[in-house]
Amino acid sequence: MLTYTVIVVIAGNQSMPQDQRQLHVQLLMNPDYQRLRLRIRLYRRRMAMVIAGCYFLFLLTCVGAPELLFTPVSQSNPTPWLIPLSVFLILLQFLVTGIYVKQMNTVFDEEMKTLRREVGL
Amino acid sequence: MNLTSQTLFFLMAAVPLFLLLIWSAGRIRTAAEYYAAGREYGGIRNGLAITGDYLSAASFLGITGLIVTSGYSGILYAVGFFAGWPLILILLADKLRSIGHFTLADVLRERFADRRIVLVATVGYFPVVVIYLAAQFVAMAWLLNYLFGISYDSALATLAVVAIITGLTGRMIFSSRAQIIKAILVFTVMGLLTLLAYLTTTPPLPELFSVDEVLIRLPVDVHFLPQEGDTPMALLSLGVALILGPVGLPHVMSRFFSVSDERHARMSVFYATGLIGGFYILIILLGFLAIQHLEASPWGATGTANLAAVYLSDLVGGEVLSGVLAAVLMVVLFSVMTSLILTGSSAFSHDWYALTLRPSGGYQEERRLHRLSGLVTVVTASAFALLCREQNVAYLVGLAFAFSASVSVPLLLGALYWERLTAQAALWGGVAGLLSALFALMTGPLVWVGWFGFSEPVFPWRHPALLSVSIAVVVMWYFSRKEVRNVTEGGAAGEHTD
Repeated sequence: MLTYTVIVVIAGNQSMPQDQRQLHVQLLMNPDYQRLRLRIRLYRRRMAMVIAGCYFLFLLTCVGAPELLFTPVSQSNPTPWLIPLSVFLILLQFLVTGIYVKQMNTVFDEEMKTLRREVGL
Repeated sequence: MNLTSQTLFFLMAAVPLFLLLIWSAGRIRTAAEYYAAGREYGGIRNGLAITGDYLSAASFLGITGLIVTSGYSGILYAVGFFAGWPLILILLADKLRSIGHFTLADVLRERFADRRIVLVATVGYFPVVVIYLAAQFVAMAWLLNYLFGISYDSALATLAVVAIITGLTGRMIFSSRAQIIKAILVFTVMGLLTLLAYLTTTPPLPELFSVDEVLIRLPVDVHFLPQEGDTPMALLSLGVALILGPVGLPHVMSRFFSVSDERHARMSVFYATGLIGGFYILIILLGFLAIQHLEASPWGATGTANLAAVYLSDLVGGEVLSGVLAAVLMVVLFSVMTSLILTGSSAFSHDWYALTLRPSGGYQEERRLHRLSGLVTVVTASAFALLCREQNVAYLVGLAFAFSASVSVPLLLGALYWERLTAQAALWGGVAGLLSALFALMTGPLVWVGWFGFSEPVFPWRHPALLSVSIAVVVMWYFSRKEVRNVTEGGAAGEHTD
C-alpha cells in the first residue's frame, strides 16, 4: 500500500527527469527490493524489542521483586546484584546498537546499493 | 556577595568557555552552514559532537544528588535515561532520514491532512520544554547560589533575564567544534573527580556499593521507594517515562541528520552511544563515592542536594576543581537552555504558524510570534523553577519526559508505524494523553500537595507516564477501530440501497 503510494508520487513527480522517474519506479516494483524493505523493517522491530524487552525486564524486577536485586553477588562480595546488572544493561544496549549499526552498514546498505545498480540508478 | 578563590576559578574557566560558545554560535548564520558544520567531521569526532549535544548536566547533578539523598533509586534514572537513546536511532533516526522529515510536525503534516493534530503536538510539546527548562534553571540557580552567595530567588531572576535576552536575540546553535570541546571537558573533569574521589575513599569497590555500607551513611531507607507516596507502580510509571521520553525528542539527534553519509552518521551515533553509556556508569560510581565522602551532609533541604557532585569536588579536589566543575556544568546547562528556548519557540512560530497555519504568512509575523513564544516559555519555566526549588533536577527531567512520552511519542510512532491509525484517532489520542498527564501532574503530590497545600494527593504517583501513555494509546486504538467499523458498515449499507 505504502509502496504503491510512493510509486504514484514518484511517477507523478514532474521535477524529476523522465528516465530517472522510470528507474525509480522500476526499483520500487522490484520484488527483491520490496523483500529487502520488509527485512529491514522486521530487523528494526526486532532490535527495538530486544532493547525495550531487556529494559522492562529489569524495570519489572525493580518493581515486583526488588529483594532479588538487593542480594549480594557472593559471600565475599557484598555488592548487591543491582549494580552489576545495571552496568551490564548499559553495556548490552551499547552492544545491541553496535550490532544494529554493523548490520545496517555492511549488509542492508550493500544489498540496497546492488539493487539500485541493477536498475541503473 | 563574597568572592572566594573558588569563585575566581569559576570565572577563569567560565568566561573563556562562554566566549568560545558565543563565538562559535555567531559563525553559524544559515541552516546550510549549520548542516555543513556537521559534514566536516566523520566518525568519532561527529560522535563526540553528538555526545556534546546530548550530555545533560541536569542528569549528572540530579542522579548524584538522588543517590546521595536516597540511595539506589538514582540508578534507575541512569539506566532509564540511557535506554531511550538506542531506541531513537533504531526506531526514528534512520526512518526519518529516509523519508526526509526531521521534526514531529513535519511527520504529522505528511501523514495527516488534519492540521489540528499538529496543533495538539505543538501544545503538547510546551510542557516538555517548560519543565525541561525549569530543571536547567533550578540547577543553575543553585550553582549561582553556591558560587556567589546570592539567594536562590535572585539567582533565578537573573537567569530569567539572561534567558529572555538570549531568546529574543535569536538563534544560538552551537557548532560541532564547540560541542566536541564541551564533551571532552565534561569527561575530563568528571574522570578527574571520580579518580580523586576513588583514591581517597577507604572501603574497596565491592563494599562501596553494599547495602550495609550505604545504610550506615544514609539515615533513610535506601531501597527503591525513596519519596513518600511512591508505590511500586509509580516506579514503573517513572521507568516508562524515562525510556519513552527521549523518543519524542528526535531533534536531540539533529547532528545525525546533518552528516551527509548515512554510514558515517550511524557510526558516529555508535560512538556517541558508548560515550553516553560510559557517562551514566561514571555517574553511578560517582554517586556512591559521594555517599562515602559526604557523610556529614552539608545541606538541609533536598534542593541543595542537587549540588552533591560539586560539594564532593570541593572536598577531594579543592577550590580549583570545584570552580572548574561548576564552570563546565554552567556552560552545559546554558547551552541546553538556549537550545530549549530555540526549539520551544520555533515549534510555535515555525512548525505551527509558518508551515501549518499560514504557509503564505509573513516573515515579520513569524518573527514576532517566535519572540512571544520564547518569552512565554521562559516566564512559565521560571515560575515553575521558583515553585520547584526543592526538587531533584533529575526528577524534573523525568517529569518533562513523561509529557513527551504521553503526547509526542504516541503521535510520532503512530504516524510512522501504525498504518491503521486514523486522523481522528491521532487527534483525540494526543488530546487524551496531554489532558491525562496534566491532570496527573496537577492533582499529584508535586502540585496538589506541594503547591496547593492539600494533605492528600488525588492522583497518588509523582510520575504520570504510565496512566497518560496508556490512555493515549487506548484512545487511539478505540477511535481507529471505530472509524474502520463505520466505514465497512457504511460501505455494506451503501451496497444494500443500490
